[in-house]
Amino acid sequence: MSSKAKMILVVEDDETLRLLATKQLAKLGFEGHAVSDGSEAVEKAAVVDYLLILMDIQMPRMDGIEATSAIRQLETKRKNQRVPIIAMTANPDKQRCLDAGMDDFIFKPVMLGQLRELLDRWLPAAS
Amino acid sequence: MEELKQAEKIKPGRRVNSIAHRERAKSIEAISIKSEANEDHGVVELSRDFGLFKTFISDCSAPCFVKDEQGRYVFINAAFEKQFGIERTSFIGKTDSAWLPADVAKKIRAQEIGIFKDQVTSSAREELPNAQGVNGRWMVHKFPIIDSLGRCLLGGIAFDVTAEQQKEEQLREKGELLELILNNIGDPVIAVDEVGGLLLFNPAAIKLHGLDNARGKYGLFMPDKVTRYAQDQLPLARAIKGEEVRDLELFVRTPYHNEGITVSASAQPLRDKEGKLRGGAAVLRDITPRKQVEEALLAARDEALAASELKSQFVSNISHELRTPMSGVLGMTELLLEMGLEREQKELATYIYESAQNLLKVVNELLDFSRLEAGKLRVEKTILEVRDLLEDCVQNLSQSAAHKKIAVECSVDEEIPSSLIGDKLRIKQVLTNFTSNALKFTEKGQIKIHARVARYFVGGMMVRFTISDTGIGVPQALQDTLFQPFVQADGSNTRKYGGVGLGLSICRRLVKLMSGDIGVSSVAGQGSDFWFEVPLEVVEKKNHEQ
Repeated sequence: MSSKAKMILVVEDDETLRLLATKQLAKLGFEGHAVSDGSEAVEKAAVVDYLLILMDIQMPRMDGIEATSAIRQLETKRKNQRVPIIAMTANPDKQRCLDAGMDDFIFKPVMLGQLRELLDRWLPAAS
Repeated sequence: MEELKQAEKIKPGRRVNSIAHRERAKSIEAISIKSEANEDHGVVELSRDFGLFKTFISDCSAPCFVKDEQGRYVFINAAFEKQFGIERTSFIGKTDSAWLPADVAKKIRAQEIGIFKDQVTSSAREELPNAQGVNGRWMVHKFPIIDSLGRCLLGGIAFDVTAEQQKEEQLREKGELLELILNNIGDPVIAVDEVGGLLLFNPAAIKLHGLDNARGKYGLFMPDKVTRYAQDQLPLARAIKGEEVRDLELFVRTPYHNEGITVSASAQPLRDKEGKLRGGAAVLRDITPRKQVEEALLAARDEALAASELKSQFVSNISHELRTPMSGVLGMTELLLEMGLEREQKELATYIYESAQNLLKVVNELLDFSRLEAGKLRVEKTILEVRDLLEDCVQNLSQSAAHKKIAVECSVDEEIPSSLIGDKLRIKQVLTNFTSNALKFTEKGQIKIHARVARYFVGGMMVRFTISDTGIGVPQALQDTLFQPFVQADGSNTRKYGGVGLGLSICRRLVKLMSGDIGVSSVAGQGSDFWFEVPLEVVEKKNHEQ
């Protein structure tokens, strides 16, 4: 697999957590692309084929729910493969996340072990 | 006998009327009672049979008497003697003052003078003493008569009306009592006849409604204070149709109560002895003060709920805001710890990590508590394995327990199936809370975690988890309050053992949310058995195979 195929999009408005996520991903052998809100995420997802997206929910401008809906719409329109989108938040409204098209949850604070488990679950071939 | 039969045919003699009497008196030889017997049957006119008349009067069961113009008795019959206990021979020639109190006698005399003067008949009630001296009520009919010598006399006949009068008095008293009650009762009472015509409107009803319908607006509204009651839905309208109405709430506006008052109305159909509907009666009760209190309470409750909601939202927001930097601290420290630090550096970084974890725990408790308070936490059922849950707990404790040299063991009864359905995360949360408490409060000995079936129900079983320790225990007096928020076994413990005192109250709420139960049995100084039980459903085979 190319390195591009190992890229994971991190959508997070807090700068420290963006840095943390990319460092954690690097430690687990993935390359993290970090953006700071939902609209940037939609732009990126439209041009890059990510393995998986870690999506914060509460963000300025466009939140994780809206961004997920937009990404899913685009996928349907382009008949693209469905990218796993994981809600990364403290107290998610699970149903709202699922309704928007998210696939799973990981709770903050995100620790290395949890992240590894999650990636094993969703990307068994990659990790 | 024949005479008597004839006498029966006689219509009772016309009561002598003064003018006719005077004229007739001239031509009559003796006592003037004219027979109207039918002469076609050859009946002998009785007027000549003085003997019979004498017997008639003498044997009359009602006391009869004749007085002269001076008020002296000239004749009394046997019934008079018997009823009033008077002996004729010594009584004749005496006046009423001989046997009646002076004032009574005087009053009677005055009345009789009137009869003589006006030559009229009279019927009056008199109070007369009987043979035993007990006063009775008598209806005394008196009439002037003129004897054969042309003397004007006064005849009289008395009927005992004591019983009737008593009855009348009782009725009157009862009526007065009822009126008294109706007049003094604070609740409006209204009665109508079978077509709705007003029969009774007591003073309280007048006070409520007023007497004049003219000025101001009247209205009977539903409790919403806006919708008018339909005429046929009003209590009295329903009562006269035979319906019983209980505690119907009416909002009443009258010119006397511009602000309106709330009444509770009860109405009853009125039926006579034969069961025929004769009308209806309603009793109203002013419940305005009660309603005002109720409304104030409801408003206060709404306010409190709003404040509580605001508080929950605030705590929720704060917790969320706290978790973002906490995530940074924890995540970064974790990475730092794996960077091959020197021993001292690693030790310090570990302290940072542990402190951050403790802080996170407090934040989590606050968040859980506020979500439970706000009813925002829901049970999420997933497949779980009881053995795994217990073993995880032991695993998590093992390091700290080993450090304190405390043995931790777990056991699961064989009856419990390997997989069941329940809220795995929340059960684990309660277990973790109980076990970490057990470790916190135990200095030596052991901690046992045990799971067994408490009872079965259709489709599942109540599983009871018990965490036993050999720690400080909980005094009896505190066992009940231990599961209340912010309570710890000892106020001073907060410093020694740490924690905000939310853990157990969260556990209680979580367990209740899962329809379970929670409790503790403990002997101070010897240890505690903390337990909780939650219903777990069996996994259907189909699901299980998946």
